[in-house]
Amino acid sequence: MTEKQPPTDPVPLAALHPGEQGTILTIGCRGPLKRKLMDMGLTPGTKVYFEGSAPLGDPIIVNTRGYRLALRRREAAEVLMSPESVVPIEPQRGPGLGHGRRGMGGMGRRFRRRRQGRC
Amino acid sequence: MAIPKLVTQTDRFVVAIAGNPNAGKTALFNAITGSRQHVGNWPGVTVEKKEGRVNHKGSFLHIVDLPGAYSLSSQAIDETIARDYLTTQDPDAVINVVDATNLERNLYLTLQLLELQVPLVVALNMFDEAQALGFDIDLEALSKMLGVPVVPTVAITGQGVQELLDAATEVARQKRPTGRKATSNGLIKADDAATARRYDKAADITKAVVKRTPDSTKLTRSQRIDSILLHPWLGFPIFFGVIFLVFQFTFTLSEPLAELMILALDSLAEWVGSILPEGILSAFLIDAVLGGLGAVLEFVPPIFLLFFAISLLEDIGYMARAALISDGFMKKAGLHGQAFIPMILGFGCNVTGILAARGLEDQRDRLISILVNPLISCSARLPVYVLFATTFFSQRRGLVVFSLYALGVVLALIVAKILSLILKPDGTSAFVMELPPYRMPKVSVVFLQTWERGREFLQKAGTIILLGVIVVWAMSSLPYGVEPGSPDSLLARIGRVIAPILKPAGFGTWQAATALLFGVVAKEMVVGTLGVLYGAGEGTLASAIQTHWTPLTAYAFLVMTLIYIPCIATIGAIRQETGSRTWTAIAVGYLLLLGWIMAVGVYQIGSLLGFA
Repeated sequence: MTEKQPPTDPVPLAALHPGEQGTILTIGCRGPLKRKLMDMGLTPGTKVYFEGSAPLGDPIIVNTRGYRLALRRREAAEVLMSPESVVPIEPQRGPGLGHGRRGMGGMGRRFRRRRQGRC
Repeated sequence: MAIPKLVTQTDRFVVAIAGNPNAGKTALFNAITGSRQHVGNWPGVTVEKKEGRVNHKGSFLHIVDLPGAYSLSSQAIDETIARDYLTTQDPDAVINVVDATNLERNLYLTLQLLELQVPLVVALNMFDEAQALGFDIDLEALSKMLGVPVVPTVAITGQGVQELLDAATEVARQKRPTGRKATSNGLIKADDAATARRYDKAADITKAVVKRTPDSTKLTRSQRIDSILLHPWLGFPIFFGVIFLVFQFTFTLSEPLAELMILALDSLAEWVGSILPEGILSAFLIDAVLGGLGAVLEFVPPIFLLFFAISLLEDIGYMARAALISDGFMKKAGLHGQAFIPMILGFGCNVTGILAARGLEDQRDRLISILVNPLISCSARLPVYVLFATTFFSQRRGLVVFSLYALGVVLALIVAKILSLILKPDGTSAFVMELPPYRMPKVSVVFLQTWERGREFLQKAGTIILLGVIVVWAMSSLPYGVEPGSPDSLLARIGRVIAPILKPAGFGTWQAATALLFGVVAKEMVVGTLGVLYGAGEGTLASAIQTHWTPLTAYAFLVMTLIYIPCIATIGAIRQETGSRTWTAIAVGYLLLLGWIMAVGVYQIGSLLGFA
């Protein structure tokens, strides 16, 4: 990678809140999981909208490339978003799934602290 | 004399269908081939292989339905099969089914197919739905950018199928004789840069050809439905309600139907008995052949009903939601969310549970789900529990029966966890799943799916069940002349041999051992066999048992009955679904061992604690 390092740490997709959108910086792990995530369209530069989650808060549901994708928070933690790209676009999308679950922030903070690179 | 050169009047082409899961591949395959199809397995694996034939305007087309694939560059089993087929079998034409409502993601596979340089035709499927949603796709521009014919189709109504076959035949005729065959897997670049480049191109093409897109600020119908079905509070009650309905539909409705079949067989047996003289032949026909047939036919109603319910839920799109909802707790046992429905169905019948495990994409997850399913206490075991529980634990019989069900579930979760730690993940068992939109089910598609799945089970597992019943019958009536199931029969002698092994579990009698042997045919037969062996009728069996057993040995025996071995039908289902003798043997072996250990544990610890 020759790109300049961003000023702050990248934000894992799992740490986004419902209603937020961000742009993928990179996939934090290697191997089959990275292959799978990229094959499903999660490539660097792709916009991902965090729609909501299953009733237990995991897996999460995201919108990308015009379709809906469900993935576990553990896997979503490997999808690293560029921090300045994360913006709430909630008002435009209306009341989607699990928007009352912003209280999952505790989990978000935990994921934010996680080191990248593990699969 | 020169032999005149044979000129074939008709062309014969092999046409493969490739596409993403949920793009309508199966529906298109059905629309093309109708009922002229054959379901088998890909060599060496249990992934379904569907083939069909169609005569299109004088050309014979052999259609091969490849497993659904998002990509050709991964190591996932379905995608490996599709890639290997395309690179080694050299089909004359490849139809790529593309979901018109989801162009960008679907085009990723299309671009990989183009890189493989296969003779390609794109079927732009669900074209009507895309239009209804507000998409406006420039077909000519798409065809030009891809460099291959693009035919709009609506697979569930058959719209566009003739034009698609026209295009496929045309492409097949023009196919150059290639030298591609020799090279294989190296053709698809699997590196990250290639993936990103392909997706960028897919996005560019989509942007160029889609002239109008739906209003993205509005929630789609599926999102509105999901806001209820995946609601933090309502999601679970609805989910359990759906499972309850499937359960009721499958097992309540099948009971009278199964009884009808048994009734028909009984009268057939009576008729055979009336025209044949009593003897070994009539006994063989009635008890072994018709009995075995009955064991198979008994499963026909629940299996067809189950497959109908599952196909329907799949077609609607709820199965993906069910997996999503149950993944939260299933992952704790090392299981995938999709493994929950097979488990629940196991309470009715393990055979149906094992068959339902087909919904699991990942082969390892599916194997684990199949292997632990016999631990879920099926309804056939209930009569045994009830007999012993009412005899020995009249006050707390409900608790005793419940404890057995709970023990089964706990053991299933523990074994699943252990297996998930032992079996090396192939890396694809991650939960990364497309959430398909809800769609109105198409009844003919659901019926065809039900029929194909049900028929396949009957052909394969049915043979094993029939053979198993005949073998057990032969052992119970040999040597020639003994009363079937009597103390002198071969089966009872084997029972005597294994009785000492059961001694540490407290029920080392030949009657108990023989009853367990019979229980392999069907677990409810344990009760009937004990009746025969104690020479007791229906009313006197309880008192006969009371003189031979104690509450502790009875409970140990029930634990054994729960675990020890799956019935013949379940073994047949495991054999068919794993496609492996080794795994079938492992399933039977570990259950026998676990059953013995648990029964011995219950008896020994119970004795130490002073129970009797």
